[in-house]
Amino acid sequence: MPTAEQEKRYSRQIRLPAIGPAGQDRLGRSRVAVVGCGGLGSVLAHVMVRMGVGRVTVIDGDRPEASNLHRQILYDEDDVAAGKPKALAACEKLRRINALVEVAGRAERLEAANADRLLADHEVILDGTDNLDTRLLVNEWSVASGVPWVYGAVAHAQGMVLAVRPDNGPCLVCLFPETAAESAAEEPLPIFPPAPVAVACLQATEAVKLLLEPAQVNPNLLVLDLWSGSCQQIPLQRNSACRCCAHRRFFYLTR
Amino acid sequence: MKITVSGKPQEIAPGTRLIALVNQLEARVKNDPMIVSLIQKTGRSHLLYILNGTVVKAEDHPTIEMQEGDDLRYVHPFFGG
Repeated sequence: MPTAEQEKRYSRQIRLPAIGPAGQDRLGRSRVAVVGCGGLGSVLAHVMVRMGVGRVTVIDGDRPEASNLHRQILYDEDDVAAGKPKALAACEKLRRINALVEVAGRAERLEAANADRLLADHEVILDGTDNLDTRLLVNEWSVASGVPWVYGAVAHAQGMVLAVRPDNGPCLVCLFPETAAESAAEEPLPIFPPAPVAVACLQATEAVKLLLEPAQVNPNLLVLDLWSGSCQQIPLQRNSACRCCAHRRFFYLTR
Repeated sequence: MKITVSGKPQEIAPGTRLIALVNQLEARVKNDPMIVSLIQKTGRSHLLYILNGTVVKAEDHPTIEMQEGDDLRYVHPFFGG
């Protein structure tokens, strides 16, 4: 059960029926990895640490740039000037937010060669990346290892979220069966800063459910448009012909 | 024949193929800022079409005949973060 210090710190969330003392204790013993610590990842890591998830690993090989500051809430102008890797700058901030959480920074880009080393021993992987290739790698690692992950992505004022449970439901390749070759679409599009915040909060919610109450995980693809204020829940089924989750053919893990 | 497109009921003629709806939808959203950006950068909209919960590959659009009660959704693929 939570210690007296934890009970005091997390009292407002422990009073939520969905969490309670047992849920807080479970969060405190949980291990999550945030892959990419930009617009999405900053919020994801922030929320996980503030909620008291026991161990949060931040994986990102980039350094903060001035063009990141409008949406990447863990960094400031000093970080840009210092040129410190995002993973390490983020960890410094996160440790000041909650010293009860074990925060680890990995200043590396996730690749097939290091995926096992960086992702193993985590219970949920959170997607804070900015490109399809890394997401497809995370997806394959998830399907191969059985560890769930939560996809999130944004452009303009829109975004989408999908919790991927390898044991139950569609994977990212079911959603993007033929988009892998369309790498040109990965060129940066404009981003309305509230969009990654909103999308990451939905991802964090699904991550907490994966840890505490997997039956409550939203099985739908969530599609948000902040500008119009719309939110669609789109039912999505596992594709029985999916090369990844159905046939377990892995392209990105074997590169 | 009744179907739903993005949750809204729509009447279509029996025998309508998915490609006809795709062409209508692409024309309808061509001025959406997201679509404009994607077309400028890549030459196509990259919209995904989800029919009754399953993403339909573009190569299958011309051959699929819509059925009474079908649920068609379309979404943009997002890769930013």
